[in-house]
Amino acid sequence: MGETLHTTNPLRDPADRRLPRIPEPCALVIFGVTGDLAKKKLIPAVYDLANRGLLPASFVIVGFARRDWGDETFEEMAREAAKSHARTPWREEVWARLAGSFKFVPGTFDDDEAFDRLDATVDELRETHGIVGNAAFYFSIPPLAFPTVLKQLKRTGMSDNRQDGGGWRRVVVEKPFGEDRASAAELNHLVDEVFTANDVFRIDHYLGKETVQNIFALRFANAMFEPIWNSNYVDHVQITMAEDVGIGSRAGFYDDNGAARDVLQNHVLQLLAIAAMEQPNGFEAEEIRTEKLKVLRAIKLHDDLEATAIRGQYADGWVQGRPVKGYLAEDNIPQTSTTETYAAVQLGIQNRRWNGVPFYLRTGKRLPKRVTEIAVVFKEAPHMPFADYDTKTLGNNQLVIRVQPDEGITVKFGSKVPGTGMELRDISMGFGYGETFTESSPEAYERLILDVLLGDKTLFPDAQEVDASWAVVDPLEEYWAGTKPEPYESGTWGPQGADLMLQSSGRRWRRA
Amino acid sequence: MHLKDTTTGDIMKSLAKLLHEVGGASGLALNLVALTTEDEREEVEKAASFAAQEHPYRLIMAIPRDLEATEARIDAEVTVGERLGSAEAIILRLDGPAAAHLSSIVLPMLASDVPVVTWWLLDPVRYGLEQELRSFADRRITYSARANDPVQSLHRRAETYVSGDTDICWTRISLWRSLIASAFDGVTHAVEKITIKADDDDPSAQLMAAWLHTRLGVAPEIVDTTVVRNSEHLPAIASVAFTMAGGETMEVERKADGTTVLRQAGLPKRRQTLQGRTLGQLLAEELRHIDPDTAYRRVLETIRENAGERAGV
Repeated sequence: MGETLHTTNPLRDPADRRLPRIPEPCALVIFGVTGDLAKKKLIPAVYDLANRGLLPASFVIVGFARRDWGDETFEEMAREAAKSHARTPWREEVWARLAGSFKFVPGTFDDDEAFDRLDATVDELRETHGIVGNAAFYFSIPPLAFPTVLKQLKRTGMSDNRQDGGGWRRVVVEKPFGEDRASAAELNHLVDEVFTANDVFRIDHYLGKETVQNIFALRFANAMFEPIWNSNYVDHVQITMAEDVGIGSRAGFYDDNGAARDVLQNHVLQLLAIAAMEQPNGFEAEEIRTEKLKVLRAIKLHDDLEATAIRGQYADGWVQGRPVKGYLAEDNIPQTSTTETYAAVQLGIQNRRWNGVPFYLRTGKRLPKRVTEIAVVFKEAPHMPFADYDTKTLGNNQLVIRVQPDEGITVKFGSKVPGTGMELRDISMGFGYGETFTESSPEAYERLILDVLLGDKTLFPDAQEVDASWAVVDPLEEYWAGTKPEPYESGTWGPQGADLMLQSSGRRWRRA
Repeated sequence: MHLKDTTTGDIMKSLAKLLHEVGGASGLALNLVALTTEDEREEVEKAASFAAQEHPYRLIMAIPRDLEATEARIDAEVTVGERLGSAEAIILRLDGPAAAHLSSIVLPMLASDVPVVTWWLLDPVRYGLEQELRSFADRRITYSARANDPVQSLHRRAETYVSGDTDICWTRISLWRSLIASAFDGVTHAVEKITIKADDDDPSAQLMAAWLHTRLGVAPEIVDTTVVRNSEHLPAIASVAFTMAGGETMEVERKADGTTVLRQAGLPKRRQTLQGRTLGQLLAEELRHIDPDTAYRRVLETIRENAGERAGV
């Protein structure tokens, strides 16, 4: 062997699947580290990764916020956050290994000096922690602040991949990615210019969920589903993302955006893309993105938007045994607000596979329960050799991917009721991902943070996907502008218009 | 539910009844057949109930009891969702010739068409059951550190390896290996010398040496050292040191309290903790991999070749 130099790690063998993928020594810089997302999701996720042994030996979290804190205060806050919100059991020794790996840089986003200090802090990690430049910048901040922070990163040169001895620089941004196609394009352009497009990670935490990744397995690793996954057999598809909660403390943000921009544009359309895309050539990020993009670009709204683009706004009502206020009575919401808290739309996908198959999407707040699912509803059997009265209660076959909660898959089909007659009824057969596996299913943020640090972009939508999604939502917003959403009682399944949308073609929403 | 002097048919009826009462539990991922003794029963049960949180399985635990008895007799306990966690569990106590005909008892009890994993802590050779257990298992988990002569047991495994064999001694060095592998990220020089301070009698240390040998092409020297372990299922490895072609050194050292220090030339010391895992955690890791472990196979090949060279073959 002697003088040979190797570029890849000789101890890493793809066939050795016990060795987890561990990122190179790196720093995670969080802007807005005092916010809810950092406390409830990001820091706990880092602890969980450490607990599962998935962090490199050298790993530092750098917090940036407008607080007069030292490293110790930050570490103490992080410890509290991890202890109260981590998924895996608390182990002091795991924390002990993270101790001393917390740095805090106080400052505001327009403070040049603070960013110079941040730059110096990240550079010092080379000496103190053996981290030779690798850093991911997590934007847990309002989108309005993005341009300022990006400019600072550019000014200090922090956003540039290091040339001397390696070292990547990546940026992680959360939704919303703009508020329409034009603003998203501007934002994308700005981020891609400061970092390179390849180093930008857009988080859609739905894609970090095991059940969503399992859709790839279900569709492309099995022989029995794909042959019927098309307009020859599928009558229509329903995608539901329901929440029982109201807007909580997000009044300002929510009232400016509404359900379509907040949820439909990202989570729901991503679910649609994964459920409807063609088989990718491989499982590389680029290959999956190509197929997702194709299907997103093939989406077409119905010509009659009045009947197929329904908005609702929750009114007073009862949710799970408790009285709740209507949207207009929420704090900091103007009485005249016409923002929707519910949106249901019918879409078509213009390709051979899905020609003529309606996709019904709905999302809303203050619905009866929290549930996200994709229901593929099949056509009726072409001919039934049974008497009408025997099959009266028989519905269409369904395959339901339950994304959350009760992660799993339900298949609904007709079966004979025991007895001497030939009476048929629907039964459902369930695979419960959750029942036995949940305990070890990582949180979406764990998976996504790890992927950022590893540089794996498979589960992150790129700028073009964001653009294609806005191209679907923009005409809806245009059509809705100046109209009032239909009120619906809190704790019900949304406005009547949404039911009528399906009834007009003899269909109905699945009770999720 | 306890069944005295029973048959497999009655056991399965009891299980079906219990499952019906509990209601619709389904989606078994595998069968786990554990061969154990009354002395080890509690340990095995504890580990199995832990692993069941992650892997929905049917546990069939066989305990040979009175081997001298002339009459074959099966006593069974059937539980679902009780002390064995979420697993469907059948605990068998076998007298006389029943033990020797284990597969005739186990085969009808296996959940259909999901993989069968066998697991034993004791030495099946003692009961003449090794072939019996091999016949229906897709994967066989052993624990060579528990054998009378652990290293010899490892060598025997290297000689007789068939696809699907695995050893908890291999499972328990995963964290160590992962630590060393991540230390090698960014190292570009070839390795010239490897020294492992470890208990020479620990099969895990032998596996570590063989793994490094396989991957780096350098045979490590094991310096026999007494290693203080604060957990039973830790490998008895104190440190692994590398000397690179450029003369640089790198060392991973684990202290008795679990603090692990990585010293690498030109870089500050880095600390990690490396604690022992419970048998349940190790079993859970093991059950995650149902396909043949090619990395383990290669390591055993290295062990076999090295043994051959030493014997002058």
